[in-house]
Amino acid sequence: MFVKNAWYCAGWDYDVTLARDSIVPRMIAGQRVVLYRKPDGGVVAFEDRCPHRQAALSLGRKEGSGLRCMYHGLRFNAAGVCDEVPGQEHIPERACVRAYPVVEKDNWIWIWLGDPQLADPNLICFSVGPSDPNWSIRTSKMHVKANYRLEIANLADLGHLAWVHEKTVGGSRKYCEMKPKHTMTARGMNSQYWMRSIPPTAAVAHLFPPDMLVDLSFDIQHTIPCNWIMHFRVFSAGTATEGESNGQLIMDSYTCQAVTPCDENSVDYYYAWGPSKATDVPGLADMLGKTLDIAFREDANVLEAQHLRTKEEPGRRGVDINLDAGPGRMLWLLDKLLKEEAKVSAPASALAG
Amino acid sequence: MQVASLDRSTEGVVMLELRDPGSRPVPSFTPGAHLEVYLPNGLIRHYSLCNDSTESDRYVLGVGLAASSRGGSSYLHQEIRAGDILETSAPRNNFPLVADAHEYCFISGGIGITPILSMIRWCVRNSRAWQLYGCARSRRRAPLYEALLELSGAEDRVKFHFDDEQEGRLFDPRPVLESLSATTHVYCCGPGPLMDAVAAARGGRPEELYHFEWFTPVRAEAGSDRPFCVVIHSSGQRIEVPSGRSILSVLEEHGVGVPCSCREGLCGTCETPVLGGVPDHRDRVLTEEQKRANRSMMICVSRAKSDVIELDL
Repeated sequence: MFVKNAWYCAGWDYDVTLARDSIVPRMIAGQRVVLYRKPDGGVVAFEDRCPHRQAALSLGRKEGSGLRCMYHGLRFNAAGVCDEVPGQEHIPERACVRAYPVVEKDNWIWIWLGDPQLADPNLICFSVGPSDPNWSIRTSKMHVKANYRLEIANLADLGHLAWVHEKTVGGSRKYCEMKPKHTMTARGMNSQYWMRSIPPTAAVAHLFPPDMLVDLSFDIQHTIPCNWIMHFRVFSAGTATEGESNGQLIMDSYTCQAVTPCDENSVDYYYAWGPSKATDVPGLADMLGKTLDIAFREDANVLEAQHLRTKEEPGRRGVDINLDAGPGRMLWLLDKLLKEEAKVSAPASALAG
Repeated sequence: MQVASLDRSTEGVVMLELRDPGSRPVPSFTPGAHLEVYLPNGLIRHYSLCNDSTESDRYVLGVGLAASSRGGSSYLHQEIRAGDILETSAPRNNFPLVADAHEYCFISGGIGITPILSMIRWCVRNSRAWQLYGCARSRRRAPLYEALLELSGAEDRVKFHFDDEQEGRLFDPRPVLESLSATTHVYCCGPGPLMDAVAAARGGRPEELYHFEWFTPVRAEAGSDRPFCVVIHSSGQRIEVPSGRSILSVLEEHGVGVPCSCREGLCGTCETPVLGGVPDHRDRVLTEEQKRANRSMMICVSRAKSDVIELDL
């Protein structure tokens, strides 16, 4: 089940270029989408199905700002309207391919799957992209064979850093003891965590003196469907036990993550991390980027195995623990939006009945 | 808590000794306190503590087998074994002992002796004058009989009444109560008819001298929690929460959506800030300290001790 009226990340801007063969198929929330750029640079997103016999338009050919299906040659303009059916004069009225609203923001391509009238670009989540002059952001992506609800739950609970990321970005039992402050927003949840006076994580411990302790601040904005933007700061350990650390700021960074469900069984995960220009040193941004590649493979191993098991026994009711508060809130919100959409799209007769 | 030992030496009674599985000290209690015991079969029961309240390493509970047990006492009588883990609340006290009385008169019936025994131990430790009228159906069925005999001492402070030795006659509290000094505090715990008889025999003596522990308490039953009113801060809406319904389910019915997941007080998803009133915390998320602070509550299971509770929703 997917929320239709939402912006879904369709990839990094560089995934879709002006090159002749840059016609990019994507599966997004159960819909087949094809992306290409017009000569003016604008991105077009069509349903990846010819209205004639469902041939893949992603096997087609770019012609100016339009796209031609390379099965029977139907040509579509950038609005998805057929302007040529080779071999006949008449162009059937229904010879249109669905064109989705597209917005590029912070180096991500966003598409709206639902009612185009509701596609408000202001609903696109806040993010910091690699072209932002104040940050040194490195980008990457990964395909994970797990349902996106498992990703939501994974990202809404940092307790798992203690165990899953023991050798990279976690490892301290204290991650399970952090008491996050969760605040619901209209389409998501903001979470704040502090970790105080802990040793640096395994991935970066070699950069610090042996007895050095740090304070960590995690300031996270989750939005539906599964976008996750974290302002992450590292301080030398201070004495404050509440609120802002009074240690010295060592690194200020953003990690921006968009998890786009392909279907019920997999996600495309677009992610980035990098320090502020003010706290950057040569090699830092590249190290952070590579660290995420390793850490998210650690998550993927857990989630893919979990996904197989939940598919085998979908009805099994799990035990609940205190760490479930964040996941519980985000999944509750997702289910609420799904229910609201189901109500609106129910046929009028059903509502009347 | 871990069941350290069981004592079934009295017919129809099992004494449970509970200790922390990691041998840590247990939260302190005062005479008359009880624990809420969360049974694996989902039932919640209240049992009084009978050990010395200065002991910091254990709780001792007395559980009588209720004739019409719906799975609470019968579970503890039949299923529980030494070494088992029992989930409990911290000690709570609805039957506190007035510390500055010059004399105490205790009247117990059957297993109702448990909170009173911890009170007697306190009196002995603090050299207070006390007497006990301990009632039971028979000597064989008198819980803690040996312990009471020992405490009775040379002053013969304990008088027993065994129904079967009195040709089935029940204890008549009137002569005892009539002979009390004007400032003696009376503490009574036992079956309803005994407590009714004591209450009826109060005569003209001040009500504040009488203390009862309603031992088959209405409050222990999930279905019979008292109703209260929830105020929604943002809208000013007032919503009645009846007995047997959770705040969460009543709010949902009124279109007030609150994120939730487990509905059992385990996951913390429905944690809601409290702006006024006193929560009756029943969750397994907040620490004891957080519960005492009363700043937030899990509305899927927790209720209100006050008549009105205001939530920041």
